[in-house]
Amino acid sequence: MASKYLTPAQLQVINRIGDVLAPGDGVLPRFSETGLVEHIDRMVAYLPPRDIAGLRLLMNVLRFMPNFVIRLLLRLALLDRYFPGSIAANLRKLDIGLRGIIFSLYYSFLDDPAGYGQRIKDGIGWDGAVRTKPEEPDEMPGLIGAANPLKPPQG
Amino acid sequence: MLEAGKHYPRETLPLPEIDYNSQMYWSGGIELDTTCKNGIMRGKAVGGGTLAYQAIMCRFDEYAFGPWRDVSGIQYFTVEEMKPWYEKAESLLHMAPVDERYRSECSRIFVEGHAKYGYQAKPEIRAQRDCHWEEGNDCIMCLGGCPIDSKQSMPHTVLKPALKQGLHLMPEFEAKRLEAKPDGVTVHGEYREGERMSFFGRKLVLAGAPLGNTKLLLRSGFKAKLPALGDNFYVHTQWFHFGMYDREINAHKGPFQVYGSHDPKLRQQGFKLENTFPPPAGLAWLFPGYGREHHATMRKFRNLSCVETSIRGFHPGTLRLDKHENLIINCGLTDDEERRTKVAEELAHNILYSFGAKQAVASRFSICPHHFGGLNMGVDGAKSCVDPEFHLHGFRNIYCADTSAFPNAPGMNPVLTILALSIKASRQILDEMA
Repeated sequence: MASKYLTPAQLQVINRIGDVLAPGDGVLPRFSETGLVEHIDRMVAYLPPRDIAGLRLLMNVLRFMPNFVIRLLLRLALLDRYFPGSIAANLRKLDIGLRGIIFSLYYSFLDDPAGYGQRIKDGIGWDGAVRTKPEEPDEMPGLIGAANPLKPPQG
Repeated sequence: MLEAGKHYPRETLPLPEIDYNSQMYWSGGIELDTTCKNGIMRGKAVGGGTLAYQAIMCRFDEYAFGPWRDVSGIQYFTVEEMKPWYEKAESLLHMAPVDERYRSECSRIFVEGHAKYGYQAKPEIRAQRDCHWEEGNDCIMCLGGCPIDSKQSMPHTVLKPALKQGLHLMPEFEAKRLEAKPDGVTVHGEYREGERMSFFGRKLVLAGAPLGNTKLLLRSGFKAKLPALGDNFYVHTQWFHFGMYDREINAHKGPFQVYGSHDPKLRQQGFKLENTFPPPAGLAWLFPGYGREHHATMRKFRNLSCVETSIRGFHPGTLRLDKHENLIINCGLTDDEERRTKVAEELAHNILYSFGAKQAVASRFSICPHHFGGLNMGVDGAKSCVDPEFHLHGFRNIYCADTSAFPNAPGMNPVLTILALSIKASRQILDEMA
């Protein structure tokens, strides 16, 4: 597993969390089985540095925790309303962040050699599409390229 | 024109959800408020949020303009006085309701559910053309930009003619600081991977929306001269409510957000309902639960219908910087908003149940694609940042007319009003430069 932002050990923790959130059901595959964690940089690369640091820290802490602790943490996050302000906010942040990572990887139907993205798409029956092809050529790339004040001098 | 995001040509739009959420929005998708209940979404691309949201077009009513006049003291905020500016804005777009032939089961539940509870729902006026639903196109696929240019996003409506008339556009440049001088304004920032650059202009128009504009001005030390900077920040919190049915609803198919509640009683209560549906990763993220139960829900997503509730924030929050210059977002939501959220939820769930839903569930979080203020307009420089002629108070060369200048939350979709105010502001700037 290769990521510019997370170590293999941190990615293993993502897989463990993924297996709690998306454990598979016979038709849909288990998260870690898909190998979709390989695509995590498509998301992490656009996070602010402080969020990347927070993610790394969380993964480093959870790395040494057994799976039941991860399950407990995710269960507690669902009970956020019973906790006081800052604890509740942190539980929600955890929930939002982890669900965001796992479900974005899982349900974006990414191309992968083993075909798991397609299998998940078929598994839920997703068929959203835009079938029409544009009739006119797109003028915008040329216009925007020409409008950039840093464009190389012509000729 | 300086834009922090990239230009995404329609041939190479980042279509997978993970890619468009990460690349086309600030902070990798959402920015959380201090409670972590509300996720602010703001576009980061040439065209900004209009790539995703240039959809529902409406003129503000007296319920929006009345509170604007009250708080700002600006008297042209009336339905009548804004009419010519709306007309100019509407002339730039192709706007129409969706043909009734394409009304889905999700829309039928929405409309008839409203009627059952004594409320009105009407077709939304949408900025789009030639969507070709008869060919099987689904507008849910255009949330990361429209691959057939049907959506009337800013690049295809006002930007293209501006480029043809000689506009210079610098994508991937993030403005970091401003320096106001008597003869103009210098913008310091970073291009792509951190190359520092500065641009000077006689006039500057801020168009970074509440979070972007406020952050830039706070970093640049404008708070000393604009005491209200970062105050009066408002949101619409948008909650998704899902109904699970025994039959297929196929809410993801065909046109999108076709109907909305247009009812004075709901308007007075400060919320609106819309007929919408999230794409798969968004659905999985918003729908409570995980594990095998979650998989079972996703495998029956075709049986889900959805009603979105949009709650108008009546109480001002704040935008501040921490010591690392990160934004601290306080949406200002109070028990009153919580109460109205519950009232709206009850109506949404009743609508879903009344047409056979076996279960109705609210999303775990709200998203806030509509955010307002931080640089609110007003006549009093002690209580506002932007004057009635769109200048920052005390800075004749800096203008703002986007949602950051809104005096408070209108409780309506803001795009047409942003365009109308921008046209009014551009007339002002041209007159001053003449």
